[in-house]
Amino acid sequence: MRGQAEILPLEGNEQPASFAARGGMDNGPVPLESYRSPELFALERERVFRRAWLFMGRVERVAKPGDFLVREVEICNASILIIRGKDGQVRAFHNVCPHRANLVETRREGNAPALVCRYHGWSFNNDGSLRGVPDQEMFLELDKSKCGLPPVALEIWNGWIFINLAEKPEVSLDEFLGSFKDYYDGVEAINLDCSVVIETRLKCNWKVVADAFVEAYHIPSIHRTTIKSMFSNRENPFGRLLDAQFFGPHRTISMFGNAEDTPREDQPIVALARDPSIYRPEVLEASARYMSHPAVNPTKQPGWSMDASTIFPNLNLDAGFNGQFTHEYWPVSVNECLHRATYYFPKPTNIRERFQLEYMMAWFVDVIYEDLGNVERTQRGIDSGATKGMQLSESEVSIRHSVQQIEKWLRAETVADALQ
Amino acid sequence: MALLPDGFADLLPFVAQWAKDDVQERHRQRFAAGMDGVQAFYDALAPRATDMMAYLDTVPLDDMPEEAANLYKLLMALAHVTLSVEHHGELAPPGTAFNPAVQIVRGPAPA
Repeated sequence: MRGQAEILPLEGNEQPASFAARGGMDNGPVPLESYRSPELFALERERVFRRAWLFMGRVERVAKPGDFLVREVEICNASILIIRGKDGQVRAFHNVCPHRANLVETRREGNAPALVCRYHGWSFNNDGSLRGVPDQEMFLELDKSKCGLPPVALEIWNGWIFINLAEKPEVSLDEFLGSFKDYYDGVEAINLDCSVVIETRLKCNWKVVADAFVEAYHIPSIHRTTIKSMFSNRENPFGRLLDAQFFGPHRTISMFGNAEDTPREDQPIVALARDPSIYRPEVLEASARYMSHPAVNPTKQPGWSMDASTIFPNLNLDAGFNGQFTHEYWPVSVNECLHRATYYFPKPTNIRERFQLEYMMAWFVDVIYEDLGNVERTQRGIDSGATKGMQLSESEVSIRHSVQQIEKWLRAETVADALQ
Repeated sequence: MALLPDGFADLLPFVAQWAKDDVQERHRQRFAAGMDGVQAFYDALAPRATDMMAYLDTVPLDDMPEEAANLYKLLMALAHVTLSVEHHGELAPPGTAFNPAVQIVRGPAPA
C-alpha cells in the first residue's frame, strides 16, 4: 500500500458524502469491546504493540554521544533504552543486563559514556556492546560478543524515533508509515530547543484518553474558560472539522480555529503573555516556513487552530501555529494507562519569552486537567456494559477510524494484511 | 542580603510562599494557596508585572543574583495564578480539582 493515498478522489469541489465515507467507513455505532475486554487487551499486546512501530521521542533528546532516554512499554513489560553511541548512531536496546536480567539504567534520561549494571557491575559501551565483566575468569564459557545489551529495531523519520518490539519487524518504518509519510514528509520540525513533558497515570483504557484529543466536539462544553474561544465561534459553535484524511492505519484531522480570538479586556496578564510582539523574527520565519507545508493546515484556511495526526497506534503528532507537539497513550492494563504530552518551545532569550513559556505551560496543564477530567468516569461507564457501542458524529471520525484499525490489526495474521 | 531588588519591597510578604523553584512546585502552590490566596497574590503582582519584567531585563536570564531570582520566581508564579483569575474565575478549571497525578516531569531552563 505504500505511497498509495487512501482518500477518495475529489473532483473539483465535490465532497464525499461524509468524512467517514472518505475513510471507507459507515456511520453506525462503534463497538466498545476493545475498551473493556481483557481478552482483546491481551490481543492488542501481541498484535498491535508487539508488531507496530512505536514512537519513543525526538532525536534532539539524544543529541550527543552517550545521551540516553529510558522508555517503559508497560503493556509488553519492556524497558527500552535509546542511546546515541560515540559513533553518532542512535540505537535501541532492552534495558536488561544479559548477566541475570537486572534492569541496567535506572535514570529516565541522561548521558553515560558507559552503562553499568548496579547488581554485579557488568558494563556496556554506548553502542550496547559488553565492556567489562568483574571477575571474568570465573565465567567458564562466556562469549562476550553475545552478551551485549539485547538490541531492539529502531528507525528514525524526520527526527522522530520509532522502535519495533518484534524480534524481526515484519515491515520497515517506511512501509508502516506508508502514504502518511508521503503526505507529511518535509514538515519542518521547528522550535525544538526546549521540551516540556507532562505525564499522567490514569485509570482508563488508553484509547479513552486517545479519543479525548482527536475531536473538537467536546471543546465548547469542557474547555469553556480556556480554549473554547480558540476552537469555535458563532458560525462554528461546535468546532466542526475542516478536514479529515486517512492513510492506512494513520489519519489526520484539521480543526477549525477562531481567527478573531484575542484576550479580553479583563485578561491583562494573558495579553502580556500572549503579546505577539514577543516572538523573535527568526522564530516567526521558522513558523512561516513550517506553516507553508501542504500538510500543515491542509485547507489553508485562516480559521484554523491545529491538525491532529494520529500515527497508529498511540501517537498524536499534532501541528499548531508554533510547531508540533505530541500526545502518547501508553497502555498499562485494560483500564490503566499513561498519558504523556510533549510541547516544544524555542529556548527563551529574555524575560518576556520566559514568562510566555511559563504561562503556556500553566495553560497546557489546565487544558489537560479539563481533557482528563472525564476519562476515568468514561471508563466506569464503559465497564458497566450498559452501552454496546459509541454513537459518533462526523466531528469524531478519527475515533471511528481508530476502532476500525484496531479491530483490523487484531484480526490480521500479518502486518502486511493489517496494512492492506 | 535583600530578598528582593530595591523598589519591590511591597512584594516581600509573598516571597516565602510563592518564590518556588520550578514549574511543578508553582502549580502545586497555586492549589495549596486556595482561591483567596491566589487572588491576593494576583492583586499584588499583576499591577507590578511590567515593572518586574523591566527589572529582570537588566539581569542575565541564566545567571541571576539571588534577589533577582526571587523576583523572577514571583513573576513565574503570576503566570500560574493568572489561569485561576483571568481564565476560570475559580481556582481550578470548572469541573476539575487539583490532580496530583498530573506531573510536569520535564520543564524548561532556566527553571
